[in-house]
Amino acid sequence: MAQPTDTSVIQRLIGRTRRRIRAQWALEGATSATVLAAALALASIFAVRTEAIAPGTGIALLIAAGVLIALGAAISAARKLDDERVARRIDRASNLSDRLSTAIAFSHTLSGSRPLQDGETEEMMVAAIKDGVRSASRADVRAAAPFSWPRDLRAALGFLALSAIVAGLSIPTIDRGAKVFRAIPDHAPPGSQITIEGANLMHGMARPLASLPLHNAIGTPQLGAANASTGYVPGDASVYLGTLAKSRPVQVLDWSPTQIMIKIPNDAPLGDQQLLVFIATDRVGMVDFTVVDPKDARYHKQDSVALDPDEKAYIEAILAELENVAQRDKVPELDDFAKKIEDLLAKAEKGEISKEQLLDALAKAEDALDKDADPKQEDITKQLGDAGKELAKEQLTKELGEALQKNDLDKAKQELEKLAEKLDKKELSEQQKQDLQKELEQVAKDMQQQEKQQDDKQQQQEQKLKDEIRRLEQQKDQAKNDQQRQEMERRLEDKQRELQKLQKDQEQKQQSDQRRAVKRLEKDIEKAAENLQKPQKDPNKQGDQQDQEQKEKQASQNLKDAARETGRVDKDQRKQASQKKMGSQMDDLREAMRRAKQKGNKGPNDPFNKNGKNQDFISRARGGKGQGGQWKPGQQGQGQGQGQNGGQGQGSGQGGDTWGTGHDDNLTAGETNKTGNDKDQELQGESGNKGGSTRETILAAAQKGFAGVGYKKVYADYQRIVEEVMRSEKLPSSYKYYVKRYFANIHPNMAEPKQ
Amino acid sequence: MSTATAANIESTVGSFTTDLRALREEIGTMIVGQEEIVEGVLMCLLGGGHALLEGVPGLGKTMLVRTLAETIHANFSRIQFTPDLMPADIVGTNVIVEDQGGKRFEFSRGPIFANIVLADEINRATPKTQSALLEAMSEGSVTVAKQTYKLEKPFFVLATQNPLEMEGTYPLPEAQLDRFFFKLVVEYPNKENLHTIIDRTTADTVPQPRAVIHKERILEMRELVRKVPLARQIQDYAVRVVLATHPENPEATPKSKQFMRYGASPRGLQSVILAAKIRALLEGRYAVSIDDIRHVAPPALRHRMILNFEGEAEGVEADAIIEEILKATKEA
Repeated sequence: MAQPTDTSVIQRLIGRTRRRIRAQWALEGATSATVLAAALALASIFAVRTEAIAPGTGIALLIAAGVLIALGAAISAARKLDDERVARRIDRASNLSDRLSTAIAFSHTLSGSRPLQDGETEEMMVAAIKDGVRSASRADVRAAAPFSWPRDLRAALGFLALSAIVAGLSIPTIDRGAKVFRAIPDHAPPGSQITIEGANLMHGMARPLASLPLHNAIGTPQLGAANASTGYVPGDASVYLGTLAKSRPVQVLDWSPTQIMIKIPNDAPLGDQQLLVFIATDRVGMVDFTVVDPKDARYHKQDSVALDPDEKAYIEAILAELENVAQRDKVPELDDFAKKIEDLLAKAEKGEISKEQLLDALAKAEDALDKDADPKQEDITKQLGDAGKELAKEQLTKELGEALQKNDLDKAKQELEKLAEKLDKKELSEQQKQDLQKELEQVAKDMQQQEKQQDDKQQQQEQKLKDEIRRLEQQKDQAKNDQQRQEMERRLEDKQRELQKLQKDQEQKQQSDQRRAVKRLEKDIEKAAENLQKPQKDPNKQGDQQDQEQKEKQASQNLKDAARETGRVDKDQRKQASQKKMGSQMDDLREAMRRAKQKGNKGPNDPFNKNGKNQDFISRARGGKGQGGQWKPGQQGQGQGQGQNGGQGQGSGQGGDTWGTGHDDNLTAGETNKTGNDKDQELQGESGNKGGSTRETILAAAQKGFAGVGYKKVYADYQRIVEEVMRSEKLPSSYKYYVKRYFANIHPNMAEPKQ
Repeated sequence: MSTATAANIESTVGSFTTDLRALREEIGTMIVGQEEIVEGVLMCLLGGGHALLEGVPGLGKTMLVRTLAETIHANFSRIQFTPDLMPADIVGTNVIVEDQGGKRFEFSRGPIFANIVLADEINRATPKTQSALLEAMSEGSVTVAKQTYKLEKPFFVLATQNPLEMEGTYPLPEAQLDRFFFKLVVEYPNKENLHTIIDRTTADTVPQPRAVIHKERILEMRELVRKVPLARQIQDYAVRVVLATHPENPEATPKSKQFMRYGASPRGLQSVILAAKIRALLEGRYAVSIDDIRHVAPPALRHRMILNFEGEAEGVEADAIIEEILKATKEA
């Protein structure tokens, strides 16, 4: 057997090449493992950022990812790589026609225990080995095992980039740091409570305090009355108002993780400033804030009420008049009402309430004022007047009767008290007592009867209306045509409304304070009469006498009660009278408030285009052409008028031959411009001989002054007439309002400023 | 192993290379170009096999064989295959001979009894006649009237054939084909070679090849070829290549699976290995390389691969399948 030839040269080559191959494999393995490691690392980062795992676990996973790369490199590098395979790579790279690999194979064969072929073949093998060894010098190890970029490099980089984008950009980082966003509202007057919105505002505070509500928080600072707050106020956090250079602390009312409620100091300077929020010594952030003048309408609520100074003055004038009347007539309810309205106006001025709130409050105040008012004041007055007529027949009660007849209830009250006093002091003779008893009894009977009559009358009216309704219903059913039926329906509805009003009045009457007071008065008089009635028993008897005295005392008390009830009726009547007198002012007040604008600049202030219609009206009044909404030219009836001699306009209208297809927003277009082409006509009076000449007129004026009536008198006359008309005629309150505003504006005091 | 012995081997291989180079150069005086064909023919000669040359008429197939015969000190005979050629016309027959002892049968040797036999246009004879060559090619002997006659070594048949699609041709039986060491496809010479051919053959002096090698030397060289070793992995590679020609084998490539009916026989593998050894020696190496296998696989296997109907219908070349197999088969 041939001795193996030394192949150490080839083995060295193989060793070098193997190292290079393993290094490249390690690189490849590491790259491939990087894909997995990157996935693991990014998943860890994602999990840590989303707080699915703890940071410690995340770090462990990151280390594991690194280990994974090393493991991948090691596993790849440790793959089996026999000598022949390495040698073949060298052969291929160096174009050695398998000399090295064959030499290695034969070397193993010759050194092995496998039986060999004949000797000459062995010699051929040895020759091949030697040939391989000789060829080793031509081997190119670098070409056999070149270092190159790993195959998976692009995939790994792509995966890394993609994963980084996914994990890094699209997943928002959870920021636990405290921050502030905005103040709501971002402007407010001094003394206002505002809220600063933010996030993680408990960050940096002691945890037990931050996580517990006030009542559970151990160590919550004791809040003094001056520092009264609604919630938790941390001790190590604060808010300042001002600028970075100069600021002042602000009272914190409540501090939660998402918002801070503060109160702007009453003496805070006006203008643009910042609210600086601090937790411990760290500044969390600052938000812009403007301290505004409470009277500055620009910063009021969008839907708050805005009153023009003119309107406001007008309302204040009405309220002043209301207060005067209330004081003069001693009607505290009216005074209260006026004060309520003043409060509302003050709130409106501050922009705190909306128009709806204002009107709602006004309606409630009016309802409170009208509560328990009697719908038929005249019935009570008549009832008391009749009673007075009866009482006036007797000398003793003449004054009382006359007072009642004059509806001077205050005097009547005093007279009743005088009677009671006389009774108490036993100043009345038996005869007078008897007469008084009879009078009172009669008055009580009359009042009861009158009341009964009123009730009967009411019932009759009610019954009559019901009968009428039934009759109309029958007629409606029997109507021959639609027109009749519609007419019947209309009348039926009228009657039903009338009946409802009657029933409502009845109901109000029953609830009326005045009516109840009159009833009590009636009872008191009746009882007084009963108590004054002389017993049939012997008056000299001691027991009977005591009984008589007792009854007289009761009668006196009854008269006092009657006096008190009379006073109540008097008070209620005055209240109603004042209300009635001030009814017009109340209407004006209501209308003024209804006309108050909303302050916000947003939204239409003129939703029905009244301004536009006014412009249209003014245009037409000046002879211009009216705008007919969507009426098209040529289809619209057009009129032309031309003033002729003497200023008499003769209109000749030319109607369109077809009707229009659209319509105005308010369904009717403006009136046809009949006097569109009117011209001012100059009229020249003809000189006559009846009047004085111009010269005479001027001369007279120079001597005596122009003849005329004083403006104040004219104003008063006109105003009186207009008010009478407005009282007598049914006019919409808005129209009345216009008229009254007109007269208010041309009032002599307004026209002639005081010297 | 002593250094002297190793030196002997090296000199043996060196002389092998030298002799073979001299033979190629002498053939080259007559044959222009066609180096691969010449090399293939020599491989067949040294491998102890037979060569089948395919090509259209006029490409110098016959000339190559005649030149080869003339460069070797060996008997040469030529058989022109025609449709009416009978087996006896090839192998010979017993004839009655009258002499002093009376009449007797005497075997009259046919043209097969030569060292180098040119079977020209072999596919023009009938299969029956073609099969007359079977025993001679595989066994190196001829049997006539129960009498077997050994053929002198080296016995080398060089058959030429026209492409099968030509008129008057009979396809060689698979068994016959398998006995050929190589099937060499003679291509049309290129422009340069054509110039050289014209220059040489139309001048007043025509070159005459001379015998440069003795037939005994050929036998020695054959022995040396068989002693060339090859590593197990390279042999394994050759085995896998041959197995890949079989459609049912796991090593089969897609084309092999689709177009092959039968793959190459073990005789084909033998041809591949022997041819690879010869190529290693030709290159001055002492062992076979994978490149050698790749180089010799097409001529050694192409005629041993039987296409299926689909392959025939598609006109798939066996060389294309072999090329795919060589590319697909891993080295180790």
